[in-house]
Amino acid sequence: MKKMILFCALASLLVLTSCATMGHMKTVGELYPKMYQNHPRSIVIMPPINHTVNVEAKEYFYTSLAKPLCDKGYYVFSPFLAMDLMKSESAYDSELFLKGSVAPFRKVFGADAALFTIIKRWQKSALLSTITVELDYILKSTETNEILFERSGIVTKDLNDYNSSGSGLSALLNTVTTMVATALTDKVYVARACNQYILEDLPAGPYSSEYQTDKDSDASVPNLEITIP
Amino acid sequence: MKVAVSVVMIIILTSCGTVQPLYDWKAYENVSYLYYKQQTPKAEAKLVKNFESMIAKPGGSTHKVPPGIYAEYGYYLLNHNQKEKGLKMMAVEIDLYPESKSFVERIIKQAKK
Repeated sequence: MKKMILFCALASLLVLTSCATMGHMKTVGELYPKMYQNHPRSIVIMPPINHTVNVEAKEYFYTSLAKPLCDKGYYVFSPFLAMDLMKSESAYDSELFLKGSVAPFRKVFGADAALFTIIKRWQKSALLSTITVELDYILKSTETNEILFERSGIVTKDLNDYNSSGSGLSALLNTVTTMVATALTDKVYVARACNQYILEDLPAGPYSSEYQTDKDSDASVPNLEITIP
Repeated sequence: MKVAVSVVMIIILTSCGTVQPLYDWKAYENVSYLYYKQQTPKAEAKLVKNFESMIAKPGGSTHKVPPGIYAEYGYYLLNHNQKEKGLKMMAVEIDLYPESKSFVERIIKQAKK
């Protein structure tokens, strides 16, 4: 009985400490105060700016952004539809809008903010058996043209973990199959993971119950670097 | 006693977990990605099936169809000779999410071209 009580006490302690934060962390409100002054409701996702030679990266990454932003509580214009509209208005040169004004997106889309992403690295290393994506996220207000939120992430996935079980020939076959079958889907998976990590610190939008109340929650570093299993 | 231990374990496992998501996307992320990648009849059928199922049974904590889905499905229908149903879907998007009004109206105008 005593052992049980001790176990429960230890377990409770674990619960209390595991979610706790490290010292000297900034809050979301301190890092991204303009989000709380500007309170955008709707976001248009701009076509990603691609600094890599991988042309496909841009298209696949573009489609992966809507869901995590909606899940944060924002209204997000469907990227598939937005792309068609941008093409018809000849307004898909993201670099131009990042440097210049995003006000047209308020007029044309009724968007409160525009999300820019820059793909800096999107790379699979066969030698190291890793995939690395390096992405910048910049949210600009269509009202004031100010940057409301800015974060960057370098996310690496270790593919060796796939092959941890099995040995000899089966392990070798696994490796080959993994590399052939998942050349692109793995990259999409890593990009999705990067979205999750980066947008975790984006203050919640109006459809979330945490809207305007998450100011004091702890924020992670603005420049994230992480290896995922 | 076993019950107590189980309860504690459940608390541990769930305490750091995330709250219920706002929406239920079903398989949207994957089917839309596959359709975007290659517009095969099979990928198209899966996408449509997923739209229908998201609309038939909205889940998550909001019990609402996620932003953009009615508009996306409506746009698809407009471009596939189902104008009436497509326009109806577009109207629901505006009702559900008023932020979408100018965007959806422009999309309808463009589809009519």
